Amino acid sequence: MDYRLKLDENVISFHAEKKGDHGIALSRDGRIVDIEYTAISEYHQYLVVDGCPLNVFIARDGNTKMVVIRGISYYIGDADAADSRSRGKKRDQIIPQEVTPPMPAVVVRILVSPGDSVKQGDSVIVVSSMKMETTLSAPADGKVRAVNVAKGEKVMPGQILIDIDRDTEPQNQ
Amino acid sequence: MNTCREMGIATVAVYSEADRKAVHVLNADQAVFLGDSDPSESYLNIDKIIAAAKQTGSEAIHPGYGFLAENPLFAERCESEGLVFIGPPSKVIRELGDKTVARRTVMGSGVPVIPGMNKPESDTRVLAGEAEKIGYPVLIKAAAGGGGKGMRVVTSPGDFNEACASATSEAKRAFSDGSIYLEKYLSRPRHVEFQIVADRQGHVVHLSERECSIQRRHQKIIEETPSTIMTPELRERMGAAAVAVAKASGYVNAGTVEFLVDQQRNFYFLEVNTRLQVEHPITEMITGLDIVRIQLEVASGNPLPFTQEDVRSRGHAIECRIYAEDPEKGFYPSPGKIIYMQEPSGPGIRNDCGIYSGFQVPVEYDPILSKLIVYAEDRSQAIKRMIQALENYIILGVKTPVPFLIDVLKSEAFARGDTSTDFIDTHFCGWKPDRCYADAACAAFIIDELTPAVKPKAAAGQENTELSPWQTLGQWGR
Repeated sequence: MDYRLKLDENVISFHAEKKGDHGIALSRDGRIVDIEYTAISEYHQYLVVDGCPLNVFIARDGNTKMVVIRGISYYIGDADAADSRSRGKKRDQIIPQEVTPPMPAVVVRILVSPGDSVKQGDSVIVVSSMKMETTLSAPADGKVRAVNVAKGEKVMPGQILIDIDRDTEPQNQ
Repeated sequence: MNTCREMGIATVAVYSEADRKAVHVLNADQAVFLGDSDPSESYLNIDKIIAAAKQTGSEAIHPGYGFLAENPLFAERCESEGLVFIGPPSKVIRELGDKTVARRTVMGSGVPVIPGMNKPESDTRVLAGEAEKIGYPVLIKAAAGGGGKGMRVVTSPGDFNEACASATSEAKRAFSDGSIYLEKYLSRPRHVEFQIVADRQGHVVHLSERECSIQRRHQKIIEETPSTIMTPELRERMGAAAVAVAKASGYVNAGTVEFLVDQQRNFYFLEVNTRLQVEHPITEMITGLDIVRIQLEVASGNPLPFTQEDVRSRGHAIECRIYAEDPEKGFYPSPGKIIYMQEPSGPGIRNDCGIYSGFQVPVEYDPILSKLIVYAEDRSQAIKRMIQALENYIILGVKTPVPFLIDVLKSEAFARGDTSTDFIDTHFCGWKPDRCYADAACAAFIIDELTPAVKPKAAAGQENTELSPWQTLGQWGR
């Protein structure tokens, strides 16, 4: 079978062949690696990779799987599934217009009001998560259209806290 | 709590909504619910905590490391309610807790302090004037502070006002006191602190130093003892200064006197933490003492069972703090559910752990998960032991700094003991892990996809016949 896996920003193609009950031959760029495996538990595999034994820990975490080998973590997703998921959002990612927290947080201070002009990088709102404050800044020059949250409100990543109308509309070019 | 159990003392935990399933709740003999997750409704609510103590017939309160641990009003309230506060008297907490009062007290005892303001100020114009006088870069600090909360480095006047507002608000939330002051920002200092213990009879003993220079966002992540900068002569002078600070303030119980040490090995008093510190286990490892036990003994009025001459330390201890955070994205908090975990074990390894498989790391509080401590005969052995322990510490579900800590411990700079508070910025700016087992990790992903049948629980409700991994391959096409 063929797999396209996404590790960080890299997509890696693999071809996997079954070898017996506990073996798999994995080829990447023409190079073949023989792997024997034993499932120790739901989260623990014992692998022998080209003769080198490795204890590997793995769990699904959202859309990716988190893999830990010798203290280093790897986040791996299925590239084909990831592509179809993110395609719809692509445009917004290229031209960010909103302010959204990077993680679940609570609004501490709002530094702008609707109608204010802001420059890219200006501080617009301060959120706090796990007792740490973070200042979010304007993604572009523009005018504040709306402030969608109030002080003390719990907010989530993806939730748009402040709408900013850009001064120029490059996506219309 | 383990110490209490050893001493035959019953324990009562208090908890908030977010901490219903926290480890301290599960391990106590009894647990009392305080209220909502917001600290003002639970862990910072003195009335509720006192009521919980009364209701359970508690005789003493151990305030831990955070929240009310350094709050003089809380200690005072315990005193007036006839409860023993396991810590210094409220008057001492008040005087040392206000960092500016502490600076004045310490200056009186002849111990050097960092240049800066000696009283808090709320007027930003006055603060800006002081900043000019001290000279940029300056450090904004919370008068009631600790743990890096409410602390900001300001390098130019343009950022000063927003930094003040942000520091004030963070301090207000963390300590319910938003007052701030300024100190000169020392470049590349080491953070070296002395553990002290004092009894009610006036004896003060120090238990050597801890080097806590490796920090991110002004919060320690790796601590060790002894410090690589220390000589017997410097230890004696700094130890004597720490004892002098404790005596000048009338200190009782366990505390920590913090110093900054510059490149020339000059030391400056920084502050006193009037509580047990997160990093106290490394001192316990090298001295063989249980500091919590000493705290309980002193709180019940007993004198210290040893003198300065009796304190012997041997070997080397290192602590790594494991937070739920992403070391590749500026150590940003990474809350979530611990899907699976496996703790390291072996000789000289101790893990003071607040999580378990299935535990949901709350968004509401500081994201510390556990403290991993190792002890060995010497520093290089301790470093190797810590690397081993970190590599065998498996936490799935949240991001942790484990890969980062491994690289720090493996680094040349750390091996040299060349540590200062800017260590991470200097040596590990823009750090990325060496993902040398990427192929094996991808193989594990594929094998995991191929073997759903090893998860009988996950497939509950389906037929009980166990599928061979290869029977399930079909869905992947050719």
